[in-house]
Amino acid sequence: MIMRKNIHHDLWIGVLMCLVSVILLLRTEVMPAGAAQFPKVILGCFIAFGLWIAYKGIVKTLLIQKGHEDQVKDKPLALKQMSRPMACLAGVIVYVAIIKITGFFVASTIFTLLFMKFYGLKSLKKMLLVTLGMNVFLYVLFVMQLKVQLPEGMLNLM
Amino acid sequence: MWDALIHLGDKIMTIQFLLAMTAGVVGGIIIGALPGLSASMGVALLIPVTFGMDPIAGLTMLTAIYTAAIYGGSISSILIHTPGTPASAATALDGYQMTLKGQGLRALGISTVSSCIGGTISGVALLFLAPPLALLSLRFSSPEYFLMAIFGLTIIASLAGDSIVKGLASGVFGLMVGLVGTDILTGFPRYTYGFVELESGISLVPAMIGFFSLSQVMIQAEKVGETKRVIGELAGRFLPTWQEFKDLLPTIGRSSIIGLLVGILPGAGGDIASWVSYNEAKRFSKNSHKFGTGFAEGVAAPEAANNAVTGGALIPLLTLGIPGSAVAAILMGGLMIQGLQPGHELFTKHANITYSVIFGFIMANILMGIVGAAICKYVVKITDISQAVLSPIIVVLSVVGSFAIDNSVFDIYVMVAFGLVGYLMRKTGFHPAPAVLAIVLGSMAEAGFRQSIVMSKGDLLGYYLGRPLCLVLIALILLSLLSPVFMKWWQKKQGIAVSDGSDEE
Repeated sequence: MIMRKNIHHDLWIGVLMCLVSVILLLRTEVMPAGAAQFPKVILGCFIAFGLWIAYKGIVKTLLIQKGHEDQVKDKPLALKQMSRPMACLAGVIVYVAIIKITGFFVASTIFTLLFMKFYGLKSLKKMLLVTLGMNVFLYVLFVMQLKVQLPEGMLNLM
Repeated sequence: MWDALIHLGDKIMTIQFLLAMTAGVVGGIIIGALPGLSASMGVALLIPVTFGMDPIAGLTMLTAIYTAAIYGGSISSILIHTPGTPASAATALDGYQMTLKGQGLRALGISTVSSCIGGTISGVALLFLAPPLALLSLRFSSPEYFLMAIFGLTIIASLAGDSIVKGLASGVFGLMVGLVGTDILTGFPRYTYGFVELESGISLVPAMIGFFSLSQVMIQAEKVGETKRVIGELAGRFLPTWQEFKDLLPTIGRSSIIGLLVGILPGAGGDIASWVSYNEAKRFSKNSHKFGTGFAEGVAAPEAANNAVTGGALIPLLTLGIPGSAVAAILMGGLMIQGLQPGHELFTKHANITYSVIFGFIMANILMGIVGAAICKYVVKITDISQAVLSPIIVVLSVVGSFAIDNSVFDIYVMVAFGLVGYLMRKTGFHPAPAVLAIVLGSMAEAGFRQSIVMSKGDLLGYYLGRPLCLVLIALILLSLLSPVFMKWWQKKQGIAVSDGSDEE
């Protein structure tokens, strides 16, 4: 019996590729014939690759479960290793979300300070200098030189 | 061409142009020297900055970053035995040995001179080879454009690293991304799910920034708390003596030609060129036994070759619109946001811009030698900057860059989404580079495919096989699909350990 935690990630990916392709293929039914032509070809290819990758995933899973892990070149994904990157991504999402509220520069200042703290930087002086330097650089380049209107946020509009 | 070259002075002797080129060179050297940051990331991050600039200054800055980042990679390779870019991995063999012998500065000097010569030769080759090749694109019609796009996509197989299937799947994923948006012929909004922002398709630049920059920050997040690198001692003479230079010149010349040819070949990038030229230098050398022990030729060969790749890689990009590598695909994005389409028009209608950029690229390579000589000793100190400082800066630059292209917060979310996808792809053996190539080539492939169906009047196969250029392209596609198998066999035979090809720059 296949144990879930020992399943090679290729199997999950292959299945996901097929599922996504089928969902997108169903969507082509509402498209005009011309517009649906190319998506059908592309999604057909994606299903074929998905099936192949799933098949390879099964082979790798069986090898792992039989104790032949050394024969599998790409080791199964360790979710524990991904915890920090995911925390980092969550931080970025929160940062982007608060840009609309506080404006770009305030959000960037908060994000940069917290992110450096997250990475274990201890020197407050260094943190403040980096944040200040970055904000000044971005203001000069994007606002003054390139005339980009960076989001000001709801707080500034009140 | 000559008309454009005559008026070149007015175009390039502007403050904006000179500043952009210098910023590109200095920025590129720093980006390249920082392990973990690549030319792909640097170019992707700075495309939004070039959007508001004059096309000549903007595009010159991007090409300057490309070539300078490749050179910058050698600095950390030589001094801390950590290649800044995979293209400098071969340099570490002899370069670091020279540092251990107390000749770090000499190794940097040889690397600077070789990179400068290799890059300049490739720039001159670009100037003279690209215009006649661009004439070829005049003979192209819809079937040829479709096959050209397919040829570009089959390059994916050679960019794919370990798994060809995963590389191709990654490319097909890119084509799927390209499906989003209003259909050009029927006007039907495909896969937009009611989002007005998606009707013009998924923005290329935010997607690329996510793929290359945010995903890299996430990769680096895994390595928090790693031990600090030890910087080797800097001693010795910087520039080679005249006699030493004369001895190195044949190696530099040969390696530059190898690099140029490898660069023109779509898919084969800086890392392959540097290893091939290193092996060739060893084969030609009377002192082959000295390679790997801190031998000057072992630094000159890979450094001349990997910089010669840059000009070579621009040849198929500018003439036929085929980005053969990740950086070339990103540079194509830079061309497109300036409203420039690769092909014959670049050398006729937009000749003033194109030749100025090519000339700027040559000047950037020369400037790279001068700036490199002045700052390389200090740049290595930058490699000591911790990820705690670099990562938030990269994230903020990614956010502001994604926003600035279209003043759209939606594009920031696109960047974040592609950052996550890029990270997961890299973790599971699917590299984002083929996806980026496919996003760029997708519309060309679809337009060519659908128009050739109409033109073939029901006999698609007969129509394609009846066109000589199509036959040549079909042969090239087959060759391209088989080349990874051949390359793997050859690398195995030569004992070359090449990194994931797509990350070569």
